[in-house]
Amino acid sequence: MIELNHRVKPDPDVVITELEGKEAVLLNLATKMYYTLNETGLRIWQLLGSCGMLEEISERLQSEFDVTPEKAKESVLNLIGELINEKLVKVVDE
Amino acid sequence: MPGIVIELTNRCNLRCQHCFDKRHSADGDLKIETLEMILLGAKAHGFDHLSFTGGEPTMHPGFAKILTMVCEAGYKFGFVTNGWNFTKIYKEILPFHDRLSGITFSLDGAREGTHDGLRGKGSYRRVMKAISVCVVKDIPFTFNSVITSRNRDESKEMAELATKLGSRGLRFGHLMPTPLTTVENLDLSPDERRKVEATVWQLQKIFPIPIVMAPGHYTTNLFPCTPLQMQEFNIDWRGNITTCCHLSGHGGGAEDEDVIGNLGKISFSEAYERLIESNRKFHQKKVEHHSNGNFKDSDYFPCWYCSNYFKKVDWLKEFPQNPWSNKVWTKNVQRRSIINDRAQS
Repeated sequence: MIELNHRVKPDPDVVITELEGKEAVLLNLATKMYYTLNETGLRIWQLLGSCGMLEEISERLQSEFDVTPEKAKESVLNLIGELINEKLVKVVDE
Repeated sequence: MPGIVIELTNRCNLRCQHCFDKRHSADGDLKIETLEMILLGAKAHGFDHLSFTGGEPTMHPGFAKILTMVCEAGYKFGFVTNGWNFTKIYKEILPFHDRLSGITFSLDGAREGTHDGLRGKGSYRRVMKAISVCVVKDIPFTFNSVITSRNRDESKEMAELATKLGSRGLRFGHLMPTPLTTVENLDLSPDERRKVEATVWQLQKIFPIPIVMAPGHYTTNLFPCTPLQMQEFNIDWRGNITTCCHLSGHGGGAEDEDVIGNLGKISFSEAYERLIESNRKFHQKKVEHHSNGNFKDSDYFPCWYCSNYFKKVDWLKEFPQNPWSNKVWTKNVQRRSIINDRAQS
């Protein structure tokens, strides 16, 4: 079960392509599968690359997108859960 | 679809180990006036499709303007690219989506290390970024792969990769030998080439996407190529009409042996007529060569034959380690051909 105190990093086999800063495509080189990220998903992915701490990412979303703490937490945990299932990110420690 | 291959520029951001020096020597770009001549003259001869090559064609400073001109003139287009700049330039293509036949990305290995070893670190992922854009924006794309000693065992992997990634096709082509490919031991021998070809023919049968060999593969058809059938017209960045895009810029000092004329000096129609005459002579000499006993088995590789015909591989005699070195036409063969010419005249 993924929690906010986890640190998560993008899998090095994943290539991200940003489209005008508003959306992005992820390509998993291991599975050859494509995925799209919306603007919020892209921001979460960017923050994974820079810090990786989910709690910090959730706080950044609250301030940048003007959402409640609950909504930010839900967005982060839902997306990270999907990314883990698709082997696009790795939990590096807790 | 009769088409014109246009080398927009010989600028390139990469230095691929199997490329001709003249394809990335950054001497210049196709003039817009030359393109205007092409657009005005080509349709009258049945050409309705333009394929842009280079160098890296997207590095032409007027790339967006060129696409506008081409589409306004009613042509369809496609281009070959290494994909490095694609995430920056794809927006220039989107307005012309309905006129785009497809984009061909150069991919010289199914594995990142293989491709990057030939084309430079990071280039594989740039291609992957480029095709990611294509998938989202519904831009049709294919892959082109030059067969070398480094990737000869990856053809099936290439087919799997291309299929999974959504490519509409995969084209393999043989390497044209250069001094660098010799030093890097990239060239396959004739027998090795044919083994890879046999694999490709098998892949054609089992994969759902079109998998083809580019012209240049072994064939007993003496005239298999579209330029020789007047279905393809090749123009380099200087406005020179040349026999074939595979030969353009090739030659170790004999780069211009295949130049038929320049659009700065003659009209498109005159160039077309000259190409017909040049092809007629080529046909005649190849038939003679085939029938007079000088034809070697290696000459059934059409690009190899033309490389010899246009004296683009004489330098290979100085590189005995290259598996094609002893296949270069000898002076005796050339002299005998000349004697035959004189006997007929």
